[in-house]
Amino acid sequence: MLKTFEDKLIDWAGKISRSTVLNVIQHSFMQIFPFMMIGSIFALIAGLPIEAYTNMLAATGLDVLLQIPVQYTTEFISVYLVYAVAYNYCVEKGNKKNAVVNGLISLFAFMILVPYQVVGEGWEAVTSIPFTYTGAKGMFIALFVGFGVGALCTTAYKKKWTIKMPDSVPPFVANSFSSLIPAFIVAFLFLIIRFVFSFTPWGSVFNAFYTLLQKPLSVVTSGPWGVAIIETVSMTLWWLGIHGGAVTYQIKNILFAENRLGNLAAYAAGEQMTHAVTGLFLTPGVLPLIFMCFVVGRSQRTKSVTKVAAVPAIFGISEPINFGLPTVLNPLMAIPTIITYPLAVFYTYALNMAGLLPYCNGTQIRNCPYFILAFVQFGGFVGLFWWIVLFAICCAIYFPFVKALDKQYVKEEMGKETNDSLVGQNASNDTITITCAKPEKIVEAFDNKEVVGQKFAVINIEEHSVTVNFDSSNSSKEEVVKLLNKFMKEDSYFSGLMVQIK
Amino acid sequence: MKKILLCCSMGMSTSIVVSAMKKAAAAQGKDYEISATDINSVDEEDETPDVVLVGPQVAHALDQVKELLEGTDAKVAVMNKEDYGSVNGEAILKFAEELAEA
Repeated sequence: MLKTFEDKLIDWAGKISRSTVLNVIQHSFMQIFPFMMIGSIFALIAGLPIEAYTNMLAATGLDVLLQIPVQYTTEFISVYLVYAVAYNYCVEKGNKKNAVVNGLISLFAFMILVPYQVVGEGWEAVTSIPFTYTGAKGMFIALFVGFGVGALCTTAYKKKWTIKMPDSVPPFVANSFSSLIPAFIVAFLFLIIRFVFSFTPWGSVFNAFYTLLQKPLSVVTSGPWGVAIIETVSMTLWWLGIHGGAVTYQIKNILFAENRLGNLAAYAAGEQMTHAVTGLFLTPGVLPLIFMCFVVGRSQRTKSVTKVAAVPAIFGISEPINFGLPTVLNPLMAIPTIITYPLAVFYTYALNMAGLLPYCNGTQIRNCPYFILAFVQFGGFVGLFWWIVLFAICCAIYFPFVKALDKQYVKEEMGKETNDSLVGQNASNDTITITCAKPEKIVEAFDNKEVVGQKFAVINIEEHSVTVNFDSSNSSKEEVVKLLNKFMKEDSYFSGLMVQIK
Repeated sequence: MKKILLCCSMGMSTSIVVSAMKKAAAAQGKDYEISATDINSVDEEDETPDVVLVGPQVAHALDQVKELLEGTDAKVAVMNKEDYGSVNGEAILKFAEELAEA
């Protein structure tokens, strides 16, 4: 029952992860991540809340300088995104040849939609493009334009809407015309869109999208429930053995971009952060689980898994503990695995609301240990302190489950030991262990084959030894060992190897 | 067999398994090229791998990986959960060898 359910879910997750839209979004966000990271790092440098330091920055004019990378990342992210989306869409749809030029066309289309202002008159007129919609507020438009232009250009390419050059024109020259028609179509189309929207009460496409789509979403993004639900889904997928984050991370990224980047920009500028919910929260990771395994683990299994999984877990890589212990599809571990994350979301929100914890500053650093992230994102030592409290709470949640699991393993291991010794005694008369540097050759020569008048079957393979059994009713073990030793010495292959037979 | 490629969501957890496999291969005196990548980049290697192993947490991406490798001789399979979780380099190496010969 559980098996078929799991298969269905894997199918379903496969369908989602193979979908063009999600793949393109995932690739695009991966490619623009360096900019997110640059924005985060510079915001941290600019926003360090130490008075002497900020005074120094202001006095030297460095504060303005440090704002520039923040400005061109947090307030400009949609510009990078639109190119990446159109590019990846073309690659995904088998139009790699035109991906770069189509990416550029999408950037052009996006900029056509951005409302610009002319300030001043005559000689002094300055045309300025506001950052208002090139940052997180333009993200939805960037996605639509990227996909739209990507689809339009790819259709044009596949349907061959190109200017046919005479054969005598060199292919290099002819190719440069191949994107001309889609580029013109895009130019006219987006000019029309801009023109039409200028008559609406919103004034621009950006404002219309923002008011009609992004604003209503704030119902989801202003409270803790949205994040909590996303995290519950993600952790349930993890428990089922599916990489949950890969599916849910992008959704979270888009939904909470405005809040997160808004806080980041405010933090860098030394202003008050206004968003309590940024999609980021004090995150326990699997560290409480590892710690509990370390503390209560008595069985070999728990101990050995903890040993391998501890270091990866510190850097946010949870696969070894999840598959090794395992927590995956382990009914006993379902509750703590799934609830600790939404719990952490509400915990962070409650602390924020109580004024005990500063709002998250929106920095994103990949594979950073969670306790360091808590320090960086949530106001230094205060964040670290509340992370440690959360860690302790999660440890308490994990404790009874890990204890029960470990007890079960200890029992299994004791049972296995007695079994093993029984097998050893009974089987010793008809089994032979052959030690050799090339166990695979032994398997090849012996498994289900007749050697020295005996039929052998391989029952166990170790790194450098193979255990075989034979029918001991006709001949004793000693005789067979003797014959085998002779055989090995005479055999052209095995005579060159050190072979021990017991 | 010469080259083994492991893949997962971002090639991070597989890289841990890769180092365990390298250790196991060295202990057995075998000279394989073993590396890790993400599921979307399996077709971007300079040299086509003989065997491509998919992490169990992205088992749902198996078809996607197979599609990317269509037309090559690479053999693709999902790694066993237990071996993957316990970072059993030896067992996974053996699995790769068996797959290459199959």
